[in-house]
Amino acid sequence: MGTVRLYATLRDRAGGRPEIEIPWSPGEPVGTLIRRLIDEEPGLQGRLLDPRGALVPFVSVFLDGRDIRYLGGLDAPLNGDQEIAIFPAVAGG
Amino acid sequence: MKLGGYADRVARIDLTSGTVAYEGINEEDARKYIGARGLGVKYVYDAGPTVDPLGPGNLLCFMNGPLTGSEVTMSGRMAIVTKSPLTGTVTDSHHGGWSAARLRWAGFDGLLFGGQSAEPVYAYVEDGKVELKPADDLWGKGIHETVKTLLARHGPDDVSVIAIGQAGENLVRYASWVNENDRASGRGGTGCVGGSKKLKAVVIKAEKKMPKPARKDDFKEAHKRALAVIMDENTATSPRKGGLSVYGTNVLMNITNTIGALGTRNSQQTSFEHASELAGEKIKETILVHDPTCHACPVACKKEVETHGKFAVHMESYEYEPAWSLGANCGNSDRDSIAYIIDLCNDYGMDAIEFGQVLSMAMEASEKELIRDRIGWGDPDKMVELTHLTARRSEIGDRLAEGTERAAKAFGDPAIAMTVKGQSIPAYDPRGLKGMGIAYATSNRGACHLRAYTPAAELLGVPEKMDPLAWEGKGALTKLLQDLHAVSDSFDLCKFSAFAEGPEEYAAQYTAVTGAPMSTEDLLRTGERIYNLERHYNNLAGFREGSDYLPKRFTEEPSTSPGSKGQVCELDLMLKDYYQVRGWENGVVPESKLKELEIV
Repeated sequence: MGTVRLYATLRDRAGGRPEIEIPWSPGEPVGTLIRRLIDEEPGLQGRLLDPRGALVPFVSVFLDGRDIRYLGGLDAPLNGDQEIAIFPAVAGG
Repeated sequence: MKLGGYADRVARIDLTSGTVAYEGINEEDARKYIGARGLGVKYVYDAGPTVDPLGPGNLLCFMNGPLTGSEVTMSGRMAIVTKSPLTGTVTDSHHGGWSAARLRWAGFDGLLFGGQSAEPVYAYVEDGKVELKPADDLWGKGIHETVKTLLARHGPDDVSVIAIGQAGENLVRYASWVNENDRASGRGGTGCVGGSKKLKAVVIKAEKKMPKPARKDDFKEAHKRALAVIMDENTATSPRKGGLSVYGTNVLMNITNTIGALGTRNSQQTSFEHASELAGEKIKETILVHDPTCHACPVACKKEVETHGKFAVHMESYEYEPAWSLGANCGNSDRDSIAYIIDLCNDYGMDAIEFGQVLSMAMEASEKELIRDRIGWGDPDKMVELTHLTARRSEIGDRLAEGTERAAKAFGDPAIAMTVKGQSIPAYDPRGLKGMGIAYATSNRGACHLRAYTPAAELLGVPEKMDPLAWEGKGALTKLLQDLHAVSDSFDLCKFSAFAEGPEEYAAQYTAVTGAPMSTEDLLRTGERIYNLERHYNNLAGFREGSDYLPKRFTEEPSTSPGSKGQVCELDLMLKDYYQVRGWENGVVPESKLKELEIV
């Protein structure tokens, strides 16, 4: 079990919840965790993964501050104590 | 002039003699430099790169562009262009609201102020005419009171007031012009130039009179296409759905903190333990009361807040940059105090980025016992006290009013100034976002995030996703964005339009409004020309080899935060690539490049 932190408009899609506890086991791919997260909060359906199961372009998933796109994508393995943070499209200046 | 979109009229106001002359726009200059930033830089260049920024020879230009005040989405920006008293470079600083549109509706592309008045004056602009009026009764007043007085005198309907506060009058080197109370042309000390000229305010009165595009049918199509990408609910700009619209620019605080790119305690750390308390999500939950907007903008990214108690204030806007500079960078977790100090900066007319940085530098100087004053990290009461002292140039505030770089030197340790070319870096630590390192170093107006907003690629994926920790490709990315943003600043469109629109949308709208065909290649070449003109100006002003650098903290002290742990910014490698794609010789524009771009 670990904590997934949601930010910005993704919180609204998850009933206002900034943090959600999701079970995972060390070595599991992050994609499995994201699918469990969507099962837990169906409002996130279509916001994280596209119909083919790929990460939506403007969404960023970070494991200990690194975007999973540079860690092997949805196949990136989880370990026991990582910080997991998910952001929608955010920008400013 | 044959081009559509322009009023074809600028006013030259000689503040020494009090006379006003009117002239059209040179069509060749308009085709080469467009308007707003580009044309303003051309006027400042023609005034001479070696003028004293605070002398009568410096030109202070209030400029709009050919798309300003039209139906083009996000076309409500005004550029203030001059030679900076903070950096000694050419500078341009933009604000939103309605002043730019009203300047166009009043019949002008620009107001060019030269000379110096003996007594305080303000300029009143209406129906194609500019009149100078006495401002003795306004001198010494804050911006909020100045706006209130001038609105009562000339409005309140259809009037914009752009003013300086006491900081500009007292020649604080990073004083700003503030439009309509809260929309600041913050950076570079344009308000200090206003103070040196004894120009207190510019008042523009004009009813809405949208200019007609030269190609009506093409405009409908181009406008529809641009609006569609801004409204797309997958983008940050999407009204009431996208991150920028819902939370404002401060939606960035949590993500830069997560990746280890949030400079903290004068960039001694790269993440702040209380960042979530200051972030846009928390502001929305706690103190947000309204989402104001600008001319022709459905995004409404401004965030008006109301606080109570010791730091009670009702103000706009709680932006990412000051939330960082006065928050994380000063070790300050008091949310309300940040709103209060931003409002003080808006009232005094002082750049909140530079001011937050000068404070954090002073806090480090105090920690290292370089100064006698005790200025602790995260002490909001002391920060408020120093805001007053700085704007008034009293006690230690007189040093802080000189800006971070000059003050650090006076304190005996220039290395604690997080500056480039005399201007403080903004809210993105280049150890966690490498592109910002090369963008800061090569910015023509000193450290700046808006010359080339590389987080668009490194965080958002626009125009393509790039690893924030990679240095490879960032030189070329920076050039591309510098050229693109030079054009959008010359139209003058909000920089945030670039989160959704690209060169195609920009070129199509310019073509439809002006009637002059512009391809995406033409557009980027025009941006390159503007960027090179600015660089050439700086070269002539004394910025030669070695002027593109970063403070050593970013290149030698590794980050300790998750996301960027162990990283430094590989500036030298990026700089080599950058100079190659620019065709520059160690930061200097060669004669051949000036000729190729038809600058000389």
